[in-house]
Amino acid sequence: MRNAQEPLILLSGELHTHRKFGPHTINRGAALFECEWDGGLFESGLFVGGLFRSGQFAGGMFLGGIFWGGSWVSGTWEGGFDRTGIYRSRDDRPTSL
Amino acid sequence: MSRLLIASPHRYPDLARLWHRFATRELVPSFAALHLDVQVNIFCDANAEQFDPQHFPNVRFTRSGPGMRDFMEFYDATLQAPCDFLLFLDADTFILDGDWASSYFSSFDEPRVVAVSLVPRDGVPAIFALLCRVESYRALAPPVLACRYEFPEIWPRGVNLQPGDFAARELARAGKIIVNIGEEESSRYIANFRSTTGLRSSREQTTLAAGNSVFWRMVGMFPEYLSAAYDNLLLGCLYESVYHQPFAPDSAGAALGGSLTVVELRQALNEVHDAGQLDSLRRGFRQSHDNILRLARREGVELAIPSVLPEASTAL
Repeated sequence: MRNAQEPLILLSGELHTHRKFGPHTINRGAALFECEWDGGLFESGLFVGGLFRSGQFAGGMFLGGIFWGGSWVSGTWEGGFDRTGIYRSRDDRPTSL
Repeated sequence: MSRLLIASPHRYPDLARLWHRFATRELVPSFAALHLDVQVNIFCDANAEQFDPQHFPNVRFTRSGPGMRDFMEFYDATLQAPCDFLLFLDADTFILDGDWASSYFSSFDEPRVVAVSLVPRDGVPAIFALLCRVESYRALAPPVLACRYEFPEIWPRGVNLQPGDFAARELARAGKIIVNIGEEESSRYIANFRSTTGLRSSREQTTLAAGNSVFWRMVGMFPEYLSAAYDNLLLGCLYESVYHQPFAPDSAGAALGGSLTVVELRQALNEVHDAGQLDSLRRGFRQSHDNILRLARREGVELAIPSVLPEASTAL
């Protein structure tokens, strides 16, 4: 049986759609489509069209989703919406929102 | 003399060459005949160094940079360009009859008319081919034309407004009019392809961030990828026929490797087993097939279009 606190690690080659990931998730290369990210560490991979509710975006590509909250450390901001729904263009990453 | 700017965002110079060829031949003379000062603007959303100015005579280029970082900002930034009227024309939208398009310029005789949408989206005005009176759009609070996500707090049940939708709504509230050309009339005069640039950029970005295997799984998940791939195949046939160079090449130069190659598209279509989905794809393919033949007739070229659907009996 898996420990409830054991991190869920998403890996390169994985593709997830319409799922919610909580605070014990680490993404290391997976692609997430229309997913909700709530509290985990996004190290690398692709985030498309979902809701980044909280957590840390430390690497990878953000494309077309809503950056509702959390912290932006690093990565590629290809475009997306801030928490007011206004579109932020390429490179207008959340540190400057 | 009033000034008209025909403006289009492009990421790939090959598609831009085709677009430019038709825009300058079909559109510019027709609007110039109305005693308009007509200029053409291409925004290089990416790959700016690949756009050879020699291939684009009489074009004003703009590049992504501060204030115009991507095609969304391009729309609003271009509203501030020195012009009185703007025709935003998508990269894969080809107006085949400039006289038809320019005939709608007289709509602006009615002061409340702020735009003419030449290609609708689901029956309502869209930005695909939008002829607009600039001062009316400049009067709106920015961002004017970029997409928006309304009610993000109830994601995913919010409203994803496409570029131009918010402006259209605000203008309608102010009593302004956007003349909306219907689908039937529009398709008679315009050959429209869809998401051809989006597929190419998706392959680039997905492969970079998540690997080629993920891109392949997306191809299987999203039928619109197959439609866009077929449209790129068709545009590639025309491009190679006109310019004798590969279209949408990958980094090794293979034709369509930046989209889906013919072999890849056949392989992907072989994985589609749902009869309804196949029928829908076939209908879309046929429409695009007809469209590319209309463009080819304008060029006076014959196209050798490979068949891609599994059934040998179909012409597609």
